[in-house]
Amino acid sequence: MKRYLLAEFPDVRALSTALRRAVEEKHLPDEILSPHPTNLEVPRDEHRKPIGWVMFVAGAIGAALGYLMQWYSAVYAYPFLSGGRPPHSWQAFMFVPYELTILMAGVCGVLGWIVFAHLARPYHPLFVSDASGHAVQHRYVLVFSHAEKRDWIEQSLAPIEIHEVEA
Amino acid sequence: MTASVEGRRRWIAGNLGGLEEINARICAPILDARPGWRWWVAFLFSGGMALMMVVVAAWLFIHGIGIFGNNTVVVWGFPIANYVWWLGIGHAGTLISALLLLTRQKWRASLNRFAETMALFAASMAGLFPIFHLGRPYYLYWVIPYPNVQTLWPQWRSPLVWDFWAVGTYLLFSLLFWYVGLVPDLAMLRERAKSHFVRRLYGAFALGWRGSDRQWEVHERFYRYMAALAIPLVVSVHSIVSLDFAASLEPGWADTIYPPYFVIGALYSGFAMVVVLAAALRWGCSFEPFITHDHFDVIAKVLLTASVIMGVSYATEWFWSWYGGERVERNLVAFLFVGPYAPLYYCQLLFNVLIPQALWWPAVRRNIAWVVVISILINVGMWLERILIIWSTLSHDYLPSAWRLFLPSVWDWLMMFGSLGTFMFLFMLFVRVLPAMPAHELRKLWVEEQGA
Repeated sequence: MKRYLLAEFPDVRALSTALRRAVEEKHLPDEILSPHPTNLEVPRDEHRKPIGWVMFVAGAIGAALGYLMQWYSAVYAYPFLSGGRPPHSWQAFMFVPYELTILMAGVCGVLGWIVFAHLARPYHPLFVSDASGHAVQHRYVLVFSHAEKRDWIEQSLAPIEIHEVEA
Repeated sequence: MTASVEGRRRWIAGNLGGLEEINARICAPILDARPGWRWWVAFLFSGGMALMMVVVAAWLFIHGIGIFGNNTVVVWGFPIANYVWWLGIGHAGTLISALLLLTRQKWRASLNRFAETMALFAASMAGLFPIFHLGRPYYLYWVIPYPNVQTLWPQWRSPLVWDFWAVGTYLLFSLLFWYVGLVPDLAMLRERAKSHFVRRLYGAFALGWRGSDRQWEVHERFYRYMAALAIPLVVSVHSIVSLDFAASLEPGWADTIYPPYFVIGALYSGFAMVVVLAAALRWGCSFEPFITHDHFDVIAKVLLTASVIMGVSYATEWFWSWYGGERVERNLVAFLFVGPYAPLYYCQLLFNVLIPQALWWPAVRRNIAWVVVISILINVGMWLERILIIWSTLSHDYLPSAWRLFLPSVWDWLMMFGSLGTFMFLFMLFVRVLPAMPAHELRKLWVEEQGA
């Protein structure tokens, strides 16, 4: 059983001050919860998720598949004469790969977004706390997993509320 | 420096008490307020119209497209004009959202959600019309490449097959883009909903969103990538629609100006529809703090710019018809100005080019009623443009013995107004079920404007 402390702050300025203090004193929070993007991040030793690369590769595969499908069907599987144009009418074959590039990049991007943002997990241990609900609406929250520091958090970071969760 | 910061335009008006008031106002039409009489009137009226469309579609499928005014010469008539018109409106929503995001326009925050929703509904309406027009709609799946015992494949050189890929991609991509932006707001609704079932429903679609810094970082980056993909997509889709016309050899259609001309026309009619919906939401949902006079001012400037480009496009068509020297092209322009459709053509020029010039005056741009009236006229003008592109060319092409006019039947009108009603019906449902404003973006904007 792990205990979490959720310290609530009323605005971005208070959150930013508390985060700076926690980082200076080497009590890194696990994560920040906020109702909108804030440009504040917990300093972590990890790489950015390669979502752009996922989209790029998926788009390239979409383009290749779209073109190959048309080439195979028009040249081998079902060649027929249409207005004297050659079976391999590459100019007219540009549209489908173009659309499939974007579609595949978008669809695989959404899958990447779900995986990288740890989504599609309807339950999370922090959901039992009110602070978690506040954080998607109007409050800013620092989540700590070192619950024994409660006194330090209360005195040094001065949150407006502090919640304890066992998970 | 301080003065310029203080003098900067604010996009959220009034003295809102804080983030909680923003949330409460956005969620009120969904969770708190009983729908008022205004909503019920609009809902029942549009529901009746939607029902009418279902009846007309059923009658069409029983009797075939002979119930429309299409004849052996003007084979495209209302259904294809409605398709192009709706798709134009459908394009602008995603284009507005993506373009304004990438150009960091803060006023986007009040418009993007309902504009994207408008795009989804309008593109859905658009997608129905080619099916209605097929004659044998049950063979629609022939444009899809699928394994079949006859080893048949679609005709890849046909613009109608390109249309299928373009519109299909656009609908799916727009749905994804819209949903990704919606997820943080669904998490808010999950927390605020009172009934257990509704909480679970919103919770399921919120995918467990918590607003953690990791989630926001991935979300922000991904959302921008999607926007960057959406713009070339939108441009390609209406360009491809224009190729339905431009890839033919008909006078007035086989023009290289068609793709950009269609794209700017789409943006124009879509922005005009955004104005109408913005005014309706402002009035019906009490969104005055989020949709201000300044919003109408900036949209009106976009409309004005688009109207000038439309005017230049029309003039370019006339010029090239004359300068190209083709008899049939010159005759077509003369037919536009003095033929039986001339009154409609003058209305088109008046609504799309002349009347919007009133928006040069700041007082007109900041008067919501005027901007709405001009926007409705623009939408009528753009519909006239779409129908006249079809009517004029097809009823006056190379063979004088085949010149014939189009007379719409009552079913044409019922289907067109039915689609408008269905669009309105879907929108009325939307405002009661999902947040019409992106709450998380407005929160961010409010915090920035307050300097908090």
